[in-house]
Amino acid sequence: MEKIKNNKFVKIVGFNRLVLMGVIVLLYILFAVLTPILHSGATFVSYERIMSALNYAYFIGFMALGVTFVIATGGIDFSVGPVMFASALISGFCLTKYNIPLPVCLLISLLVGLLFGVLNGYFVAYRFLPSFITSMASMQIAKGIGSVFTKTQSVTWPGSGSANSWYRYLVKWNNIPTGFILLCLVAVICAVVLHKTKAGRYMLCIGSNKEAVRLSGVNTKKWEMLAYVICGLLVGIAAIFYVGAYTTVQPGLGDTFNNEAIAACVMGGTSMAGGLASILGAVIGAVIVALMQEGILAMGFTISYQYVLTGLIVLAAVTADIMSRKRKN
Amino acid sequence: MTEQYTLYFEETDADKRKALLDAIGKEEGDTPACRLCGRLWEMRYVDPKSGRRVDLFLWELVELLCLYSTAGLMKKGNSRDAKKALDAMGISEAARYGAEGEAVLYEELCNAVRLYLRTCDSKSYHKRLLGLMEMKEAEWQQKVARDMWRLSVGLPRRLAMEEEFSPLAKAVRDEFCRSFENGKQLLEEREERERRGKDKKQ
Repeated sequence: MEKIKNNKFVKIVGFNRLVLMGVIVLLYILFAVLTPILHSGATFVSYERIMSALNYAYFIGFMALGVTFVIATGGIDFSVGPVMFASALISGFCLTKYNIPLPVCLLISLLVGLLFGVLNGYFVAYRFLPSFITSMASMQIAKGIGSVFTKTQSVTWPGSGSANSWYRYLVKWNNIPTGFILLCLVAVICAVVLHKTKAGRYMLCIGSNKEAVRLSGVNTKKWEMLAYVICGLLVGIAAIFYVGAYTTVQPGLGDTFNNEAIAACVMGGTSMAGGLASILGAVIGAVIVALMQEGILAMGFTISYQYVLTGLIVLAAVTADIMSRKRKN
Repeated sequence: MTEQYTLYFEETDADKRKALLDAIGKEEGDTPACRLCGRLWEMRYVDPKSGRRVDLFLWELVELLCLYSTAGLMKKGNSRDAKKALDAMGISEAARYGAEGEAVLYEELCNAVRLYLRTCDSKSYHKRLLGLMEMKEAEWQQKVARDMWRLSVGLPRRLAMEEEFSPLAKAVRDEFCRSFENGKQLLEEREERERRGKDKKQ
């Protein structure tokens, strides 16, 4: 085992990340075997299934990347799902009802996410409100704003073939999963920001010992707020990928995705205690969550089973994190 | 060292320390020890870029702890960062002053570690699981011991920089044992746990 861990490739990618990649392969094999048995006539091994799982992984992945920044500072953001829906609803409503040009609507989506990031960041960093309470409150605000703005009506973004459908190429173009390429690209940028820039170092150190960072002369408020702002921006991007994959958005929903984004993040190796974060782990975690969702549907179970499973994953991931902290301490 | 020096190294407030140092300078004149203290004070409390009041020694301690989590992955880059951090803490500067320089640096590093240990008493350091739960006393002590072990043993070992780290490692160990009655035992337990963990893996 020690020999494997000392391997150069294992050291670069990280042992835990490789284990998670192994989990993806195992899950795929498991679903491939179980699907025809439990759901006669259905198959899991198909290009469509992979694309469908990836569609789910994109927006969960972007949200997980955002949450990673917040958790690195020792906080939490429970509003990512509803904020993503609010972004998609408001920008989609502007597109379909007010005929605002599509590029502007995409920008509106980013701005809505960013605004919620600023709101959360301001109250956590400058008003010292617990991130748990703040994000719970903004979750309700996001759900409310989305419903009020669209008068509780669902919004359908332009489908394939219409003039304004080019935004869907962000997700898939000529059967190429462009969304996955873009997710990886953003993940690389996030990794560089978190591990190779002054801002990222500050965020990680705030999660490790905030008081020491403050006393050393660093403006902790500014950098803590930045983590929430980055999270908001990434949630705005997640909204674009959500509508790119599914086109229709319903108001008052989205909170179920919070758990999935947090589960992906913690599963990937980000510590709930702060100070330790893994960007690659968050992306792999998002793929695992998406694969599970696809597998459950393929086996003929309803989406409710997915909620049960996600809840169990969160419990398992957090318990594992606490136990590993205890062991390390 | 005179009583005034003892007072200077016990104090953790930058302005009060400056005043004490000025008083030493007036009394003793321009001695090498006083000159080095002044130089270390500048290095520690004045941001070289903006001239702002900071505590760079404290920052480097936090940064070195953050470096530990990625030390195994990007060893080359992290060794460079660690070297930079040690230089910023005046290790090369003090080496020029010989044995007297070493003694002054040791006291200065102990002072920085003492301040770090005080920050461990803060509410945010006691919190765990997204700030929702608070640590018990024993758990908190083990967390502090973990940080001190990483600074004095873990990081130097991972980066194979034991010699470069030795002045800091000594200050960290000594100051931790002075601040915590069971400090020595906590560090030994930590070391034992690491060793047992490695044995299990092998």
